[in-house]
Amino acid sequence: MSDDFANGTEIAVKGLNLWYGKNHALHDISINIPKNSVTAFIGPSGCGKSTFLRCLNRMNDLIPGCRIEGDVNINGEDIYSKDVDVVDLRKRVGMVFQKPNPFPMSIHDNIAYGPRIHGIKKKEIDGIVEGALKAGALWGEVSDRMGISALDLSGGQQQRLCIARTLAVKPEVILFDEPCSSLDPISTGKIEDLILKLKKDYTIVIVTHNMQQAARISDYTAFFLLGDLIEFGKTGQIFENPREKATEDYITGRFG
Amino acid sequence: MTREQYLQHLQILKRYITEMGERSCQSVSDSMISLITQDMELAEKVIQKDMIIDEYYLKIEKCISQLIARQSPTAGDMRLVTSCLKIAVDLERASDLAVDIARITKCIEEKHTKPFSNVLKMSELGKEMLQHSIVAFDTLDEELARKTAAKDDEVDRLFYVSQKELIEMMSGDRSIINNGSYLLFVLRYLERIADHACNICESVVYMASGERANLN
Repeated sequence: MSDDFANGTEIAVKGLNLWYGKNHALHDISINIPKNSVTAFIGPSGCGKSTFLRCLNRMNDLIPGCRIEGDVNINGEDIYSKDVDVVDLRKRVGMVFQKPNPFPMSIHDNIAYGPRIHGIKKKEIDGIVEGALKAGALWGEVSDRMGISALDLSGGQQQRLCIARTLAVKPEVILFDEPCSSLDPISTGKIEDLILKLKKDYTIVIVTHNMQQAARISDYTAFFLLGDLIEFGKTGQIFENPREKATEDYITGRFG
Repeated sequence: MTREQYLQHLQILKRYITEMGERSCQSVSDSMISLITQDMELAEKVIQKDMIIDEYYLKIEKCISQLIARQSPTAGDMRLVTSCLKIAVDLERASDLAVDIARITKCIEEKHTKPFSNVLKMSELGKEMLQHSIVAFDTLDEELARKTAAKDDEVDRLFYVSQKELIEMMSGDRSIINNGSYLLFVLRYLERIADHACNICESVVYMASGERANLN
């Protein structure tokens, strides 16, 4: 696949196959994901988009019976090579999940947790926490109650907290796995605006069931079906004039 | 404010329409000046500049396709987007008519014949209607849109009166048939330009209120 992105390629995947036991779940996926852009993965349930997303920070390593072949390079480094420190990889490639999952501790400590375990000095922590909450578009809502439990925040605020927590360890890439599926339209709008702001500094990959969300916020879209990458292109092209009939059938709701 | 990027795209679309509108008005105005003053250079400029207006049309069409495909505009936003597509067509046609007038400047023989006072009136009214329709669009001013469209009756009246007068003149003096026939076309083009302004006013009323008004 050619690399003609304005900001270059962040993630280069070549010939990736994945098996869950005997089930061949991803078939020969090759894709270049551009830097400082939002790339959306869409497709029906079970198409492999979340599985593929989890390949990008080796979250599938945790699943028994999961076997992966192929190359995944992030900024030129093979992340499946034996000498890769997986904890460090997940710091570089952060992840935000479907359901907000704040730690059962204060807002401050949620953000401070990552920098602390990565050995950041105490006097720097407060600045990092404030910066991350500002970048996560939450500071204005919580700056006067940093000591309260993160679990007392609304769902949308909790999700922005989780994004801020990811930002606090200064990742290169942020993976979002359906980050708005448990949120109302207002909170969804805030997260979408936040994602659009974050792409200036990070490479963003988002799995979403909401096609309109992919259309609204992504620069590139990849359509997956039954473990195959069917089509990948600029979001404007995918939603105005997709090359593949299967893509058109899916995005126009004519599937099955 | 959420959906900042989307709102920016809507603003860009509005700006394209306003800019295209200003250029169309300029073309109509210049084409009439070229005709009246027999300024071939200006006529040529109008013809050349039509390319820029056509480019605006394509930009607007592209912008609208993307907004529909990616942003699913609803309610007032949807009315804006669908109206902009229609307005862009009207502006493009109005500019084409200006080009037709500029071409006539190049065909017409030196001295013009008389019914120019009505042609001038029609041209002033047509220009004004087009300008005001764009202002009404820009400011979403339903009242201005309705007032502007109401002027079309006067344009139509002038058209029929001048047409009749010109035909009578030509039947009395065959030497003016060449210029006279061209002028008949100019009258028709000006009348059509006013109609396009009317259509734009209808789109503005729809944008502002949701009412599908027939102002023409």
